[in-house]
Amino acid sequence: MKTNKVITRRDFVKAGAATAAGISLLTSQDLLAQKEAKSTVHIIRDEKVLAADLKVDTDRLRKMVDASVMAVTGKFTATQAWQQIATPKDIVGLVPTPHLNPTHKELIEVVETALIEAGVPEKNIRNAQGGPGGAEACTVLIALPALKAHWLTGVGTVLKNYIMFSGAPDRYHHKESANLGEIWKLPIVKGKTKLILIDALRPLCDKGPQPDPRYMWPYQGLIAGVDPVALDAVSVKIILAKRQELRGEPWPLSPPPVCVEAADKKFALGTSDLSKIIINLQGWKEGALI
Amino acid sequence: MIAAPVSQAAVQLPARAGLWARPAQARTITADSIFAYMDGAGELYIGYRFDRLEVYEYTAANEYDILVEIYYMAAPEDAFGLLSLDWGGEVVDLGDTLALEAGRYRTPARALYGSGLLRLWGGAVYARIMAYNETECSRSAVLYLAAVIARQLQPAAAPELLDRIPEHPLPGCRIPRENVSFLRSYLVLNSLYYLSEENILNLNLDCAAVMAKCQLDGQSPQPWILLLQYPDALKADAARQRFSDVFLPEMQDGEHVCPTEEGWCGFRVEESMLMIIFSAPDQAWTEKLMNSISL
Repeated sequence: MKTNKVITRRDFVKAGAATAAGISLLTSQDLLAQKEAKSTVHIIRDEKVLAADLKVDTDRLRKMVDASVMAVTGKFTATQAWQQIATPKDIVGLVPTPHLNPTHKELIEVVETALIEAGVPEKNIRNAQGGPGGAEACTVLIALPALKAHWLTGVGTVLKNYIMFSGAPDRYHHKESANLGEIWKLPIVKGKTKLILIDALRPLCDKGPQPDPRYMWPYQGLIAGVDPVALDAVSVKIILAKRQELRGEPWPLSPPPVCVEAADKKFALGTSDLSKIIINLQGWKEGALI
Repeated sequence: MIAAPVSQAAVQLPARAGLWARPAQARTITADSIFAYMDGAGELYIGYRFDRLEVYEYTAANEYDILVEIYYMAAPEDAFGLLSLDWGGEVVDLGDTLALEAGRYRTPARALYGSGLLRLWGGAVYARIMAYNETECSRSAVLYLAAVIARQLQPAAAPELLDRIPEHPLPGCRIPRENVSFLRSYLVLNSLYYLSEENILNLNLDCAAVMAKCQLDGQSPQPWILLLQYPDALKADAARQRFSDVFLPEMQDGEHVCPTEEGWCGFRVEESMLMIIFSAPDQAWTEKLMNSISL
């Protein structure tokens, strides 16, 4: 007897047409009740933050970081914003992309400095990237992933950033990458992420995670928010727009980034539907790709 | 059966390249350590018959590093496959040091450069030489290192399977060499043309496959040809059966072409070979294309 339980390209082509009608590729048992709330993603750009020689202007970067946290928290000063994210009693874990197109070290340092200035003791700030112990020891997590396409999962930015917290990254490879969203609901992680700040200074739109400078460009941005799914959805939008610009025609991600929709529809972690995401762009507008 | 690595002496690199100097020793990465070196990218190299990787980081004061990665593969076709995944970039002429062995298939390039990254294939070696920031100086150093590496590599022909892909299979239809890739892994196939979340063609390192995108006047999407070689006829037929069951479940037994959401799909199996056509404009054209390619 013939069977079609395995997801194939044809299912995605059908779902592409069906998405407009609200039909998901996920099965009905995967679907959780959908909330109608909108998510906001803030994009802060400065065309001079990264020089032609790729040196980071840390003063400009600090202003971008402060603008990001004020936008995310709704506070009028950076100090107030950081104090909403972490208090002096918190143990704050920074979670950067550790290698292969890593998070700029300047961004990590700027965030650390800002936290200290806001009153968080230096001894309470640590790099939490790695195994589950990194997340478990922290009361607050700040995700600092780098924006990149990924040849195995389509996109390898926010949702994938916590893969090591699972303690079993192998369980989220290949088709199981659709379940990356569940890691954010583990007890050692859930509710701790107060800020997600994507390093989009020089993203990678193809061949990731291995760096290939042909597909890296100076986007000169930070992408900030608290909804990991919305942030990945906007990341995909930017990557796809850049790919289309390079090829002069649509150039879909292959394989498709199924983890983003699954994190929304299967794990109710956030919003993947771009029509329900408000994008707030501040700063440099040219080449924003949104 | 996985071939034993071909005899390729370790490539010797110069102590200096322009402003940059290398460390005394290479870092050697094996299949056991590749995921620690490049988590998330190791599957690409394991998807071919990978032997080892040697890594050098050239450094210079006040300059970004130049990374040299030399991948030693089990056979020339595996090294060719890695280059064939992306023919983009500026073709670099490294003289006749990477001369082609007798073979009908002419590859678009042996070395390609773009934005600071040079990739080259020679013998059973695939190399990546990458300047983190492209400058005139770094470009010169990258090209110099490429020339040094190329001189030490053995000539080799492209995989024989590519000889079966004609450049002009039908009137109005062309298959540019830049649209042809060689692979053995379903993950690699999915990165070129997403087929399925599972390995529905039973691909593994014993198999060889060519994926080629056609240019057909006035057609969107463009047709693709996937040519697969299995170790024996039984395995080829098993793959054909699984593909048919999963990808074309509506197809009746005995049929070999079928309409899909992206045009017509057809397949032909002959002994250890399986050919699949995707996104063809109609049934007759699908049949013609399949008949134009000898298995």
